[in-house]
Amino acid sequence: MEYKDYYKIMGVARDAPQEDIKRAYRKLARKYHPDVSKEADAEARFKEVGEAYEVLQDPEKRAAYDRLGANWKANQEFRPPPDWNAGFEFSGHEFSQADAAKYSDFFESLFGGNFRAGFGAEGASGGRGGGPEGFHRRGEDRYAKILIGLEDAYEGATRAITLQIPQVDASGHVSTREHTLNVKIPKGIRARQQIRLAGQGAPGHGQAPAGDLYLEIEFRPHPYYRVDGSDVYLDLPVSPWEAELGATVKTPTPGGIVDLKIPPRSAAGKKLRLKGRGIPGKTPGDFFVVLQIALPAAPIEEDKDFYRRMSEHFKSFNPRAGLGATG
Amino acid sequence: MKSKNGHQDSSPCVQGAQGSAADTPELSGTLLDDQHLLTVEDVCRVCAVRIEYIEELVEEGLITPQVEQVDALHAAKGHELQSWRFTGMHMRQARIAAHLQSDLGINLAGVALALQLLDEVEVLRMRVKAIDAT
Repeated sequence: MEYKDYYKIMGVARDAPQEDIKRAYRKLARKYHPDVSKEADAEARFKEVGEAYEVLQDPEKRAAYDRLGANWKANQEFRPPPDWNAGFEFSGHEFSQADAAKYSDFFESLFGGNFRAGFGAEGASGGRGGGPEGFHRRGEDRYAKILIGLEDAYEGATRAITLQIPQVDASGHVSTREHTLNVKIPKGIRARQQIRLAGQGAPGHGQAPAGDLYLEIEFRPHPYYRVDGSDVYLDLPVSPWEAELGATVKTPTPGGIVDLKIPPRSAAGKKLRLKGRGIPGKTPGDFFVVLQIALPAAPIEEDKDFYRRMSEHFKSFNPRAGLGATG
Repeated sequence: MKSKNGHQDSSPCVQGAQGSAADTPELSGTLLDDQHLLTVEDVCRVCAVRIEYIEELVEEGLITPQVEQVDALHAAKGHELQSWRFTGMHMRQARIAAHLQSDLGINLAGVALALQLLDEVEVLRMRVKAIDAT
């Protein structure tokens, strides 16, 4: 297991006052909160910061952690010294099963056992739900975001989804186990919509039923389609003569290739709508094509001559006329 | 560091959905579109919050449930909550609100502002993506 430098993670000095630690935490939490941040490693950073704060905000835990000494380096192989926490009394902050699973092995080795002593795997989780808890209690709901291809929303699909499920064994050790489900993705699904799988959440306690699993849909970024609700956009390059003279061009859509009619005198940025060819549904979305004008390269002299002849021919054409830079 | 769950309500992280696994049965869930509405209990369970919290969100105008017609017996005062019906989007909002509040220590008005700004950022990100592509 690796040593974790909580001060370094929080970006504060080892002798920082409590209020600095809180300030640093708030700042980092806002930056890396998974519901807010678009940073690639936001989720992992947020957890790391949360763990560091969990220790440093609590004077007892902080003192215990400090006693390990300042000579440890981040990521150094770590084994807690025997009786490292003797003489410290931890007041009764109870960890739920879910809380415990948030933290690293390093945290577990220092604070895990003490806090969960007397806590079994069953009934260890309180969460924010509250309410009287009998022996028979419905399992918690689970919620996960999944990435699917845009094509799956057009045609429907069955996808294997692997979830990391935290579990606590009888001795209080936390681990994760992989749980793979084959889930039917219904045709017409949109980003942010959820699929509810009844009974696929956490198992119930006693005779109570299991919770539900909710899967929130996110589309994998596509190399050329953009999705906005149920509408889908494509930037379509056309040649200058196709744009000016009009043409029928083969155009990809997630539902298959279509023949698209480009009207004559189409300017760059012109938006063409293919009604009902967005994500299908009771009210299907539309497919929008945004034209881009692509110029042929002129690597050889004959090509360059052609451009020179065009220049001669379109003498009065000034693409900057609208900018007042005439003449 | 082993893989962790997310918030207090044990949410697994973003998963890529791959082709189907051969030996597991296929599960058909319920798509939470505008036709499939949730009760206040459903929302509380998945967000791991108390019913009073959802009431606060509704009072603050963060989410506006539809009101289902209930019979006279249940229409009595105090049963208003039971007539509320939420969409999946409401549930998603409530869940994010609960996370922001507990993780960032902001009050309800702050959460409402954050959610509104997040929506605007989302729209702007789309536009930027469209501009970058051309």
